[in-house]
Amino acid sequence: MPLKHSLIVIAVALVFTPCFAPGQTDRPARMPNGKPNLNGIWQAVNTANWDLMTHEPGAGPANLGAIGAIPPGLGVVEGDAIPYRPEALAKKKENFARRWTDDPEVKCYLPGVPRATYMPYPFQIVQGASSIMIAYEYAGAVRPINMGARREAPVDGWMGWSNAHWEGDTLVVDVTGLNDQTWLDRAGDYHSDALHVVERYTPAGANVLNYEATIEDSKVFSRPWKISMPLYRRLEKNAQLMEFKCAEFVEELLYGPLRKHPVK
Amino acid sequence: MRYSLAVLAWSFAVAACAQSTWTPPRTADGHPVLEGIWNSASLTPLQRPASLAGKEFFTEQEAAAYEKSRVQEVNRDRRDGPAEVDVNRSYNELFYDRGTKLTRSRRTSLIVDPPDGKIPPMTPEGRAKFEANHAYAAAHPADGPEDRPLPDRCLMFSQSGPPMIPGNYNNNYQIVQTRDSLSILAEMGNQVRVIPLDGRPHLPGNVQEWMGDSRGHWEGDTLVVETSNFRFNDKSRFGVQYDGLTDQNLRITERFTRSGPDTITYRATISDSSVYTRPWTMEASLERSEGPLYEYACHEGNYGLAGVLAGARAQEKAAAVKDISADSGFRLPLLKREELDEQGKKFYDEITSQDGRNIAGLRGPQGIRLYSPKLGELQRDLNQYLRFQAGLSGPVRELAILVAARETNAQFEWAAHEPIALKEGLSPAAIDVVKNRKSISGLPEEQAAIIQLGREIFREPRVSQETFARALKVCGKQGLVNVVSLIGSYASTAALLKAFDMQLPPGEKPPLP
Repeated sequence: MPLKHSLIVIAVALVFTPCFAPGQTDRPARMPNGKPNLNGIWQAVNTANWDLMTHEPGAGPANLGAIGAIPPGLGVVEGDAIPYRPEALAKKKENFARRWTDDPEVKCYLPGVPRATYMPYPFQIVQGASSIMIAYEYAGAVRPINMGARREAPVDGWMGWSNAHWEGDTLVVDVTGLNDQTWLDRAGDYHSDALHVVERYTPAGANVLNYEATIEDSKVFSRPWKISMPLYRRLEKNAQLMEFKCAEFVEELLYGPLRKHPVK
Repeated sequence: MRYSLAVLAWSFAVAACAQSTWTPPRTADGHPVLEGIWNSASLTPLQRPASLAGKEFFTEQEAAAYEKSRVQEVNRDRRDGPAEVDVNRSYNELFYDRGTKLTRSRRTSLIVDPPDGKIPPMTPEGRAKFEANHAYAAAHPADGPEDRPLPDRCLMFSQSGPPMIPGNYNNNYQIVQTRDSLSILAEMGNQVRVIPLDGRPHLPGNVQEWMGDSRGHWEGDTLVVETSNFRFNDKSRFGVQYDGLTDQNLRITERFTRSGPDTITYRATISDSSVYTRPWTMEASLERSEGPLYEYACHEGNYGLAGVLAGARAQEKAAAVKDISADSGFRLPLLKREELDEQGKKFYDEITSQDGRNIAGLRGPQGIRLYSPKLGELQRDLNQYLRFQAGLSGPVRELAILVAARETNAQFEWAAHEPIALKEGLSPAAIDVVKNRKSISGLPEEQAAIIQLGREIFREPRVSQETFARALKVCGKQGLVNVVSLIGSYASTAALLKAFDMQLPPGEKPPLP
């Protein structure tokens, strides 16, 4: 940005937003083409990964004590109710009962969408001139976001197939091609391969994105429903995604009984 | 200084000649655009083959001939070899996408330095570690997941790098570029690197990562990416960074240069002073591709690793049957005729005679009984009496034997007698009930009574009054004594077979579930 132009922007910001304390620093950054610049490392700060709905605290595996205990949290679902079809609710309850073994997160499987967003790990949006990549620290999960002409999912996968476009300052990501292997949280909320997710990323200042996801799956839910939460920028100067290839950390769990000398 | 200027001038001149009509498209912040989908598939080998020693480049004609013959050579859909070769080609052409062309430069190896196109020799220290690691791997190929190569564990792949070495398939990359960072998604293994370009320092030295910690900066129109903090340990011989050996001194410098409208020239210099005697450099070309990249959910579908480990355990179990003598098929060597006394020789001749009364010959219970010829004769007489002179019908006799074999889990005995039972007219239905321990209801009374009797002999503290009465009714008093003795006699043989671990004939599967 030319210096003169920057100064004008600052001057304008100071003149027209006198009550807005952080001033220019709280305006979302913009790309050269004028679209919001979502580049950065972001993270949800909530307990949605434990349970999308409002939940009380609870005990975890006894040997882990308070480390494994479930923190309480307010729900992120609009209306605080997930509209399961009556016949689909039993599966959610069964999942809940078996969550310490059956949650795909236990096995370090890819988290799917939207769960990747509110896993308790940072993720990075890399927004280029023609496409976007979202890289997640958890399990090294990754999603290329197609910003070009819409392309149908060639095959189902764990992280689905993402086509995106801008609606004003909102990045709208339409996700299809999701398989039925992922869960929505550690409480056993689940979906089928008919899942269709529409995510909306809207800057709310320089360091916050408002995130919404509309979840539609006629095999499991009686109507589309919505979750929303803020995503916060990781402001540490040295913030970066680190390598969390958890496949290695679940080898004992998955393959331990096949060892020549099983670990006692 | 004067020299530098001269070099600089020369560089500009070369650049001007080579790129007189083409300049790379640029980003808003003025750098060449690397963003896009690229593919590095190439027939060019990493190291120069011995047959091409001294030859750095192919001519155009040589390249075409090499490409043609190489495509034919690596083709796995050929069926022109013996069965073993065929099996090794079972991961067939459908899985491969290694390209049909050499890299654009027509080099004879991806390695451009040293000039001989080969990975430089190891230091004595590196060589010793390499050999120790390989010896360990040979002795412990799959004790646990850690012993397997990193790709088996879905942790690292040579294509994903760094360095990004073209491989047999999935040589696709998607680059997204910003002012402050650049991400490279490698389709192989679904691995993504987000490389900061903002000049920040590397991670602290105590953080080690399989893919290392990358930092990028621009040198003119070339993006230079320096990677350190590689993960290494005693098992990292399986790393694929280069030739299976990594070390804490490993540094990799990659250079991405747009060299044409549809090409990025990619160079990677690998330096590890404690392993290799000098650094080496490889070059590949990333060619523009349509894409899209597919999700390689390696870990989620990793049935292979479980299969490899389970296979290793099965092989160990099979190999653990070490105390079996090859000549006898059981735990003692087969006695030779000349080793026996007169009684033994007589018994030996009887076993080996072809009168049809001895089922398995030497490779069976009689082979074991050669060690006690007198016992062998007594047992033979008892069995001959019970089988042929005690008035039991063929089907009843064989049913009693099968029940004994089943209830003692004597695989060898069952395998020997099932065909005889069929031949004697025992129904397949009755055999199925005994073999699979099914309900006796629906079987003829005689068979049901004998099966139930046998089951209770082996399973219960005593045979129930009801079962006894039922068996007595169908066999009569003497017949019942004979049937029970026959069951007992074959249980005695089963005990012998199990104690001496008589093996089934090679290749035969255990018949009993």
